[in-house]
Amino acid sequence: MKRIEDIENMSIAELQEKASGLDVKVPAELQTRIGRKIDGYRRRRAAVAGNAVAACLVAALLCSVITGISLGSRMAAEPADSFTDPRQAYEEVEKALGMVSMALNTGAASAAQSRALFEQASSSVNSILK
Amino acid sequence: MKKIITAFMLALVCMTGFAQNAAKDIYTRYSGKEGVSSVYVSPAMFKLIRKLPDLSVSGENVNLTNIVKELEGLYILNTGEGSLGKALSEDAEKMIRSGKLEVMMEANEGGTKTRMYVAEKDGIVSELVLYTKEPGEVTLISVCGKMRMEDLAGLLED
Repeated sequence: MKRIEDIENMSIAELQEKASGLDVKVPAELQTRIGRKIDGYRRRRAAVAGNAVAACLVAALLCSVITGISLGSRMAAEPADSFTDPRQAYEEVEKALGMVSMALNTGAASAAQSRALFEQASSSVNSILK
Repeated sequence: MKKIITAFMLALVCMTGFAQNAAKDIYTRYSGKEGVSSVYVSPAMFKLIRKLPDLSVSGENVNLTNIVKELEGLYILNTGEGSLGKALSEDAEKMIRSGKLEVMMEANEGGTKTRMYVAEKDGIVSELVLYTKEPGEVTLISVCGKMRMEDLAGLLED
């Protein structure tokens, strides 16, 4: 029995020569058994892939069903026009835009006031700093 | 396993892609209820409005003609300040907080709170929301369309 230090000091060529000269007993039908294991592994992998494809198809089907239901419910929930006469509808549009206009003008007026105050404050500060 | 997760994520994306108009949801929920005044003008009605021969506003300081041509929908909800008003306020706040709308203007005058929001991209406003809360009344107006900012400026008085 060689010591570990002796084995470590051996070169690759010496190690290979030693390995080729060893009388290793290979179990009977090792090749067959390994082949069977590999085949079994490949079959299991194929089965998993098949299940994944089936799962994707089921998910896609569910997705389309859910989308169909939501689209259907959305279309069913479309509100009805409040007016049948476009002139009446336009009057309401005018009123609504009038409210928007009023709000915008209020905001613009407030902004103009604030700007005037800001300019006043700014000129006061400038005169102090001079 | 990766394929299952990918398919599931795709399904989720498809579902979220069908995001509904929030103003329409709120309108559908409240219109027809007792104590709520509601007005809806559909895209089809706006097409008819655009064909009206005398589509102009005379004697006013603002020009609505250009804006009306760009509108595709109008939702108006108005109610008192009871439980419905409170619920409408909460729903309006949720819609505003959803992140799609930007604040354009806020004013607080004499107990009346007025807020205006827009959904704008590249100078085109797809939605304008006016939310007013005054003592005894809550109003929500949503105007949808493809409005240019320059045309919105036409709503300002000369």
